[in-house]
Amino acid sequence: MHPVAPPTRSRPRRLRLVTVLTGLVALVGTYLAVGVGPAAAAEVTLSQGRPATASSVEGGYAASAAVDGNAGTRWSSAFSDPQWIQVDLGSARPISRVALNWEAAFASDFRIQTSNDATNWTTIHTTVAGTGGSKSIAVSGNGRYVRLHATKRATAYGVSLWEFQVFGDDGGAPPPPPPNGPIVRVAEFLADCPFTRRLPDDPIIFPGLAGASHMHSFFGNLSTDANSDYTSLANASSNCNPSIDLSSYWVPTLYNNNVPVEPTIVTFYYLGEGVRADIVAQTQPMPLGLKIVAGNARATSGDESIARWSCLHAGQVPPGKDFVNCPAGTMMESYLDFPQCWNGRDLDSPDHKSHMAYPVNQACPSTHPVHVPKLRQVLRYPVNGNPANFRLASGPGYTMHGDFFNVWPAAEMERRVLNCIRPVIKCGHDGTY
Amino acid sequence: MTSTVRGALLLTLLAVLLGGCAGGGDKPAAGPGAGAAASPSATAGPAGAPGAAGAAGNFNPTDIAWTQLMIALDEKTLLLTDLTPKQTSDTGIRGMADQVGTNHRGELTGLRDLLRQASVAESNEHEGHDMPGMVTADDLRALTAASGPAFDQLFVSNMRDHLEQTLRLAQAVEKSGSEPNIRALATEIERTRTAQLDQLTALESPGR
Repeated sequence: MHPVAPPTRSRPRRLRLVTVLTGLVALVGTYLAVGVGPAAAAEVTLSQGRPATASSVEGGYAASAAVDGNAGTRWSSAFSDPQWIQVDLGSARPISRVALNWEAAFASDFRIQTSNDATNWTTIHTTVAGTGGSKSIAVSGNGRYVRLHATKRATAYGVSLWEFQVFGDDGGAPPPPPPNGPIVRVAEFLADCPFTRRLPDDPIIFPGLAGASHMHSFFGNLSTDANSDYTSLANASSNCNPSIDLSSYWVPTLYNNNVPVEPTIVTFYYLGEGVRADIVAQTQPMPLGLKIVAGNARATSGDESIARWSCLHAGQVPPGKDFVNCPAGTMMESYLDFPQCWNGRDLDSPDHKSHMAYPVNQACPSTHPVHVPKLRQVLRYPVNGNPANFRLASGPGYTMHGDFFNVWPAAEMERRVLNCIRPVIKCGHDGTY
Repeated sequence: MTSTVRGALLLTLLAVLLGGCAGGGDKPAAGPGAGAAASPSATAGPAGAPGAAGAAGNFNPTDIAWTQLMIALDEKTLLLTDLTPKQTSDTGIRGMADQVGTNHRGELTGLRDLLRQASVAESNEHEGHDMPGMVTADDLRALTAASGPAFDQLFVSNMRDHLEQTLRLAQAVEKSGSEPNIRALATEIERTRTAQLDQLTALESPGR
């Protein structure tokens, strides 16, 4: 962005947009300038990134995907009539145009409606026997909520939109902030996945060999065992929040005096950090079925480990590679970061590690050029005090390791990468902010 | 909308415009790959997930994992059988240790040959772990410290754990493995283990 001169502060925002756009268009080539600059400046998108809801959602294709400004993600409804999708503009706005980008499953009959209470609707446009595709519909209306009410499907499937855009005049004022307060500039989405069960199984290290492993504690997908594969996991369910995350996570079981202890707070963060900002901005979703192992189960000292132990609510206790002595009333916690650079080809490797790598000098090495979200595993155990009687199924604290089998539905992982990681926004469980 | 979000939108637009240049068409943003997100997963979708993750031949991941684990388990058991003559004078125990030692050395040759056929390096991912059926460092310390009947008792319990676990694993790889030579070795190991367990039970019988 350096070629574009920073605009002066006194200019109104819209003018700044035009200035920057003009600069960009000049960079790209003048032949493209026709129709781009003036059109983008004449009206504003009121719907993008606003809260969206729908009558139903099929296969993880959430309503928000239709208002995310990305023509590669979509909302899809259940296979029945009628269906609707609505977007909350935050406050009543004059509306001049609605753009629909239908997937192959489109609605032949639909209405565009506005409302100020999401209950009483005014129809501002009706289409009968529509043909799908990309349509720009000029309307004249006003309201806080804008709804597409589909009354007749064109196919046996539901109705599905790549994009549902509402345009209008921003009145010279920026749109209101998102509903949950200001954006937090941390590239993050997350899943909280409680303990499911203990088994001496490991579907990555010992696939198909039930009982071959030391004891593991499993989280997330409810079906995981030695015989799990992508298909079996994708057809099972999960205790994660969000439950759409069907991934499986597991760690060596922690024992206190030989009694197993399970973490009561289990969070898997997906982060865009540890590499340069321009690489974060190009983060790719993890591929379906990707398997990652982090930590060193064979470590013979803390120096050979990257896992870290600390105390929740007792930051004065220095973190360590081995178990730490946490004050009464606090919890011992384990942090482990997974490698985030993928070789772009293999979902696994014979040593289960060499298809992934950690960044070097804030960038992914050329052998592992694809930057994916960094998985950070955080486990809070209800134990504290002298760690002399703690052990992991794999040995001392520094043998902590984590296994991850990616079964996020592709559309859900992609939406979070595009909406949270690349633009550096802290998202909640639903993948919005 | 903050200016940073606006910046992101502009970047997206720039990407679209540049994409248009490269493709030379009118609709650069068409298709689900607009975020460039679909391309890596397209080359390595879950359909390509089975396969031996780099191994040659018909070896699947179960075959490889079993072979590596069996090498680790048999090697650790050799530490026990090699130790036995020094710790006990019981001829039954010594005979069993000798027989299992010879058998395991032969098994290890076969297992390492198979790993070479698979073009996979030997690695013990679970060195030092308390793996089911494995004679661990702690076990060995206790065995070295014991002699006579105390040793014999430890010998029997360690050996039983090892034989039972490797029998279970042989049955699992016969079911989930894919390489015929692996299945053949597993079938042979299943037969041997059953006989060895009978022999161990006979050693334990009170009337001996």
